[in-house]
Amino acid sequence: MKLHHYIESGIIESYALGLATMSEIEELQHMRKLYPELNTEIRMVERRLEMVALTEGVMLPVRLKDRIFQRIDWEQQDRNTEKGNPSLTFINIESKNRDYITVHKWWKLFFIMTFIVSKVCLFAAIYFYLKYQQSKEKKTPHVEQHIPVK
Amino acid sequence: MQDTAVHIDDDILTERLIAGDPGAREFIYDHYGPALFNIILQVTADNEKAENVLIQLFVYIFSDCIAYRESGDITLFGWMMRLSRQMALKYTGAEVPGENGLMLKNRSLLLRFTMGLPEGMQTIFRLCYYKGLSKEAVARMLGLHTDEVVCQLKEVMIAFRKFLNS
Repeated sequence: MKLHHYIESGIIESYALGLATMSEIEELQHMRKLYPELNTEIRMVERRLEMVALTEGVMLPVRLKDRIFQRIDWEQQDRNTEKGNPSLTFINIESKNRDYITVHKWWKLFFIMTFIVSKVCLFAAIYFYLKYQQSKEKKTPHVEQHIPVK
Repeated sequence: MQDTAVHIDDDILTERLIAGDPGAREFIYDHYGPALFNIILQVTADNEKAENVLIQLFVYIFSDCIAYRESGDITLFGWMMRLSRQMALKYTGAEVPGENGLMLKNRSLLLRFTMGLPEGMQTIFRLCYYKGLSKEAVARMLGLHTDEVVCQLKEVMIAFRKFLNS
């Protein structure tokens, strides 16, 4: 009798339409545990609403389906990437007939190092050349002193 | 418009959705999409807004269908129906309650029921269902006591039960 009164109060319809408050929903869940037959009643109301809603459906714009399924695909790809299982494949769309080449970024460092080492070598060569010249100049007058005067 | 005789078990459908079955997604979209779009349209009263809500709705349904299982809701459609209204209300935000042409043109069961209600009850139901206002907010707006709104809404729900059974 209590259950009948509860059902007739319109609580199921209120719940089905999303108008029930949190306390009403909690009460309904509690009643569902006490009276499992309440689930059948809820199912019947929701099925009735479903049948009516299906007959009153509004034609969907064709483009919507593509937009939704495209979004789902993107989200799926994002999730796969986050999981470290990327399903993306890198495609090089640059033409092969061009004046530039693509190299690894480490080559940049290698070229800088080579440039610096070559400069160091150049300065070292100049330095030692000048040193050699200086020492050669110092030796030359000493030799001249030993030249016999006629 | 839709074939109402076809009904796939909700548990099987949910299982396939959780598994990411494209066929199940397509079925859900084709079978329930128009019905859910109508529910959203009644709340947003704007085609563009309704389309955006529908996209959000299906993305949520397809990617978080496990939420249906965890919610303890009985039917999949019931869960989707409440979700579509909630999302539509969230999307429209705190727009000024009012009448609109689209709603008047829409002759769905719920609107037919609403039109048949006495004026006071009709206003309360409109504000609660189509505008998503709480009973307290409706009471403040109409200068009534909250208990009065609760009582009238209860009467509306009893009337809706009879309307649905008739």
